[in-house]
Amino acid sequence: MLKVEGLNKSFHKKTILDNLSFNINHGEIVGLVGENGAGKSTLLQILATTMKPTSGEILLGQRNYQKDKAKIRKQIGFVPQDIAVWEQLTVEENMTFFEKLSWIKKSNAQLKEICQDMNLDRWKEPVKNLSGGMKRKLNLAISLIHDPSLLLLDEPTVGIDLKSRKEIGAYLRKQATDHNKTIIYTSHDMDEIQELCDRVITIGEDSFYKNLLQEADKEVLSF
Amino acid sequence: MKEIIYTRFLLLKKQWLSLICWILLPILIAIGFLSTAETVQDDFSVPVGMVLEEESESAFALLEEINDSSLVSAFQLSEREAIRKLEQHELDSVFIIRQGYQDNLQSGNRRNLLESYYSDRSFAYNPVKEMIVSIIQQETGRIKAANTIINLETQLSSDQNWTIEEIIAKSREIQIEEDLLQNQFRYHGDSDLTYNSGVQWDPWMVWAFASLLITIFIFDWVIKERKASVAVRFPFMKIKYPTYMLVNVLVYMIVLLIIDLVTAGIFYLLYQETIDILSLVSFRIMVCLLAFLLVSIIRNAYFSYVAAIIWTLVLIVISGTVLPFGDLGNIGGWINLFNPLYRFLTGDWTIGWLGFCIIGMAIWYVREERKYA
Repeated sequence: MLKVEGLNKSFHKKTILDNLSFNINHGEIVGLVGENGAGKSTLLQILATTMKPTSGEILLGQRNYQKDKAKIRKQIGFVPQDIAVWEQLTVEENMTFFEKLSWIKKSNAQLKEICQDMNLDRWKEPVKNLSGGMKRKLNLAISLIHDPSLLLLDEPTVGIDLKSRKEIGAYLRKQATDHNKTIIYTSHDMDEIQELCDRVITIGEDSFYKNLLQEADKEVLSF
Repeated sequence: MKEIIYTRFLLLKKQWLSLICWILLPILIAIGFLSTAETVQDDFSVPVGMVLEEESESAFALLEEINDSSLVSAFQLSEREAIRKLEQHELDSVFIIRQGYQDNLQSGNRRNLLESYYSDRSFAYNPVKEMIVSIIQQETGRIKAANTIINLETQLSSDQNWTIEEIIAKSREIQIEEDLLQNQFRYHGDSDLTYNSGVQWDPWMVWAFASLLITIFIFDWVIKERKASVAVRFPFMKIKYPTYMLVNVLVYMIVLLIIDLVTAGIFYLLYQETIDILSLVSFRIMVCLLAFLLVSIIRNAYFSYVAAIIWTLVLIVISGTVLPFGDLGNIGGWINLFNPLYRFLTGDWTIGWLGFCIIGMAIWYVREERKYA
């Protein structure tokens, strides 16, 4: 489904990503790990089309990233690391706000269902009154409004309690299994990565993550 | 478009009270400023008591001339009442026009025409006294000149037969025509030069400055939303960021324009001031676009507030609101080119600056489209 071929990215003659090639299939959850500054966020931004690679080719299905950027963006659900919601609005208003600007129209009931599926039930509550875990769930729910086929998550569970983390993990697994969504997930929590991801891509020269994951019998792809 | 309007409604409904206060502020500032200016002007006139021992034509003429001064308010009172009020410091000073005032004037006798009282708090006694003395001297001089003319006429056996009243009337006429001290100035917005007039504040002028300032303040939403964490979501939405912003500017423009029309109605009711609607519309569009471009460049809400205040103060000065211009010649013309409010203040359509803002918006739109492409 997602094919990356010979991907390079350099900033001011400094190579961040060096000749990355990998394939990710439908319904697969792939973890993206590496030490800080290794290039995880850069790769995620390139895959999200918000940054151009220096060279290389990326295909989403049959669509080329360079030629069909606008159409590819319709298929991407991006969950930023920072909680990107309107704090002053309620959960309902946030969902409605982004639905209005979205590619796909959804009814209020459908929007509510997305939230309920991940146990985000405080529909009428202003976001500023929600817990960190609830906000993270809403952050994810907004990115799913337009039914993306590729979900890119940048540390979506950072700083939240274990229960919320498990609920988000379970929800993502359901999305991959039942709705065939392809998910790329960055995290520093190796337990979470091992539990949730089918495969893991490690980036960076440090072999710490690679060794750790191989010991846990995970399929690892290293760059 | 209606989707964007709905999203704006969602955001604005959380701050409707604050928004209403802000959009009504220019009207309140204009009304408040004008009423304060009027009150201050009244408070600055010095209250003096005038006691008329004789009720002659000359005595009333003196009283009237004193009252003509915008700096002095003269109240005709009995001597007892006037002195009581002076003792209570309700009056700055008291002047008594003595019995025989008119006869003394006509005989050229300038001694003991008036009697005055003042207290230890009569801060304006001396200037008021000098003013009254100068009026009396002017009158005695006029009568003396008239008598001289009549004497000359008699000596030279002229057949003109002018009366003293005719000569005095002619003298007054010449005085008005050839005023010794004449202030010539104009405010921007006045097409004609004003001579020796009092300060007349135009509500639309005050409103225009307040409106520019407040519009820039209101447009801080552009900075806040661009810096908001949600901005990262726009590349993945159907409606692109530049379009979203542009429609929102349009929404604000329409809301503010409606308020402007209400303002026109209020100013007509309060001050009988009318305005060319197209001038108002072009001004509003220009100010909204200008505010948007300004906050797009500045990118920091607090800097935008400071810049807006400084800019408005500079415009107030170069518009001649605080310092009335006489004839600045070519310099005035150049200054006006840099003043976005000038055309509105002169009652014209804001064409040049509107064109400039539209070009600026087009450049902004193309740049943002490329950024989000």
